[in-house]
Amino acid sequence: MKLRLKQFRTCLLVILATSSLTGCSEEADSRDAVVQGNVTVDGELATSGAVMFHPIADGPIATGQIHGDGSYSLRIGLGNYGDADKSKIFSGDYVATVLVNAPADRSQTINEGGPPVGGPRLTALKYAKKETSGLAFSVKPGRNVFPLAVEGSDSDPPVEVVLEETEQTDETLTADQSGLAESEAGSPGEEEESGDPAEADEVNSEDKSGQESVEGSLE
Amino acid sequence: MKQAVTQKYGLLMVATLTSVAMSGCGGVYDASVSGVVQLDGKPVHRGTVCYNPAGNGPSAYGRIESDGSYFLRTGREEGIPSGQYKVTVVANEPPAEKRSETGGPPPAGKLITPAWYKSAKTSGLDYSIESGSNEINLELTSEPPPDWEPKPKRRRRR
Repeated sequence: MKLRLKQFRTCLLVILATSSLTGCSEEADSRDAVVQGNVTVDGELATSGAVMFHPIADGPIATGQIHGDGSYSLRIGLGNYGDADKSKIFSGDYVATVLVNAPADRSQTINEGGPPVGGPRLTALKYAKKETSGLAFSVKPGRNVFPLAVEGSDSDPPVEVVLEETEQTDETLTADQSGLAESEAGSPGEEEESGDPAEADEVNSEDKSGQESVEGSLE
Repeated sequence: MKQAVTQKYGLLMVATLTSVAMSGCGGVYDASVSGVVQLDGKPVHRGTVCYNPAGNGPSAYGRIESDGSYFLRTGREEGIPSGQYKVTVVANEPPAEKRSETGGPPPAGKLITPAWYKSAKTSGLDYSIESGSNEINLELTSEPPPDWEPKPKRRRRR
């Protein structure tokens, strides 16, 4: 009987020792902050979507999926894949972006047998870009909770402005192309080969301006 | 006698085991809040409850279930720090169409809960949350507060 008592005691000790050992698992590097929060669109909790935290200084982007109850927790890469809510990110200053889409309409597909058409965007467009989101946060070491109360797509600027923005992205594209063209400025005839004639025209006109600027800098 | 002692140790072991199981890393907030949201005596079947702290701190949110019940989360964790809060409630009917005519997002559905419950300034729902579990039933009325002035309607764009 005494032996049993001892066994019990050692058993207890072992349990206590291991329980103190387990606890929260720590990531090896200097990630020191847990960031969680909730996302509301026009006051109502979002049910899906994603949050991204872009560091102001150099560093990895922290991401978090919005759960069905509107909450999110941030992680870098896989984070703490054993328990995602305990993932840690680096403390510092961040700008957040949020994108929430309505659930996809599964009755419609892009092609037959293809993926369903994505649901329409529910959050205002400005929250999808870090330049315009205006969601700045200072992540402190330890636990951080950042509720993100964003406006719905009702508050988007009128459609014309959206069109302008797509033009802008075209410009940046062609600007990249003209950048390429600049490097091979000696053979301007090559651009004629690109498939879409309208596109080629656009590229050409951009190229001319690109060349002009090159010439300007040479003079 | 000896059997009684072993029994005692047995109990102790069970107690330690349960405490080990319960401790973990959760339970970061000292209070929990749950309750039912009603409008004119009828449960509100969808929407969002938000507890905005009177001082500094994060807001806590709860989704209203189909039976009107809700419980609060702060971030991903259940619960809320104890203190003073101003409560807001927003509930919209689901949008009638899946998309607007131009393929854009659907216009928001009709408001279920009156508009003054949207803002902490006008909701008039002030609560003090004690540490431990709190049951707070939110009883809303469609009778506007005396100083309520409806905002001009926002123009909807297509």
